[in-house]
Amino acid sequence: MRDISQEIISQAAQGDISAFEEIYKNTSAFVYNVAWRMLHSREDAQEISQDVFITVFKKLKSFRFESSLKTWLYRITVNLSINYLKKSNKERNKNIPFDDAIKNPEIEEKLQVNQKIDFDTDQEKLLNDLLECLNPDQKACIVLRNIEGLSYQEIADSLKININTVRSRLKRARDIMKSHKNISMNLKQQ
Amino acid sequence: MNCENIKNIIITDLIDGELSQPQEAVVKQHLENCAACRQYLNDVKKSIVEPFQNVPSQKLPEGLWLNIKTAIESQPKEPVFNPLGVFTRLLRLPRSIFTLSTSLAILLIGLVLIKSPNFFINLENRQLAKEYLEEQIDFLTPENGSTKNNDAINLHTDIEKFLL
Repeated sequence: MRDISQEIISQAAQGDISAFEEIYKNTSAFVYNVAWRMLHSREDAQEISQDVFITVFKKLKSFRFESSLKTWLYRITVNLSINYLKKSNKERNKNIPFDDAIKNPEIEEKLQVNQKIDFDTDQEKLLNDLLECLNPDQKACIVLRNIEGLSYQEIADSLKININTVRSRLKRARDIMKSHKNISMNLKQQ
Repeated sequence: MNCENIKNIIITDLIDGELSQPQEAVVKQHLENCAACRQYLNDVKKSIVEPFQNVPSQKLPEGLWLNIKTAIESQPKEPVFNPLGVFTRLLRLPRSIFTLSTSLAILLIGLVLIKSPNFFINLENRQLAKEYLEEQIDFLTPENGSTKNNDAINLHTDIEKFLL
């Protein structure tokens, strides 16, 4: 991401749409990428990215330059993605007995679609498998660290959490991914 | 440092490059002497680090900016702040809101007065002052027939005889 001048941010905050387009051009790649890794669905990632930029446009007036714009954007993207994941998990688990859920044609169709996702590469499939076994908070830390390359301090600032919480979430997430990988390797060998 | 601590560092700070040079030196020295921890580091690299290396970025979907721009432009614009407008809007509020706010204000003032620590003390002082004044008036006006006051006046002194 190129540095965005304070002037561009101020112009966009005043409602200048071409200044805001400049911000979009510089930041949309990582916003979409984080949303895509968090949700692993193109449609959902597109929806969240739209929500992120609409929220940013509305709240840009209250941006106080205490943190960088990048940190602020990561925070909004991750928060919206986590809320979306938690909401969809809640909807999914709304007291439907497992057998009934399987019989439900709509859910059955979704499961079949998920199984048929055409991953571009084996690496994509492996990444998806690893990220899917994490809870939303752990997933956010892994995406920001392992994919976006943020430092522990930058993750702590983006998620507004303590640096030791970042460390412990990463450790827990990696323990889970490591054991998941071992299990899947053992299954392949059998 | 024991192996458990070293493993905790390997899976977090070491693979993420978050250790200071002296800390890294301590861990590396331990790894040189501990085969189990070296094996753990290799496992971690294979299962956790390698899958995330050189991950390609996702391509932005076409039309994303257009959707955002349309959504922004279709939103109602925020009205400019106008103090006179605020005042006129206040006047347009239903009368019940004014009644309610006045009642609340009176209730609040009453509560503050009652809760005030000096309130009852002042009340008591006022009562004492009133009684004192009444006694003084009684004392100074003998025509109201108070025997006590007459006794107080009639002390049979020379000055009394002179004055009375």
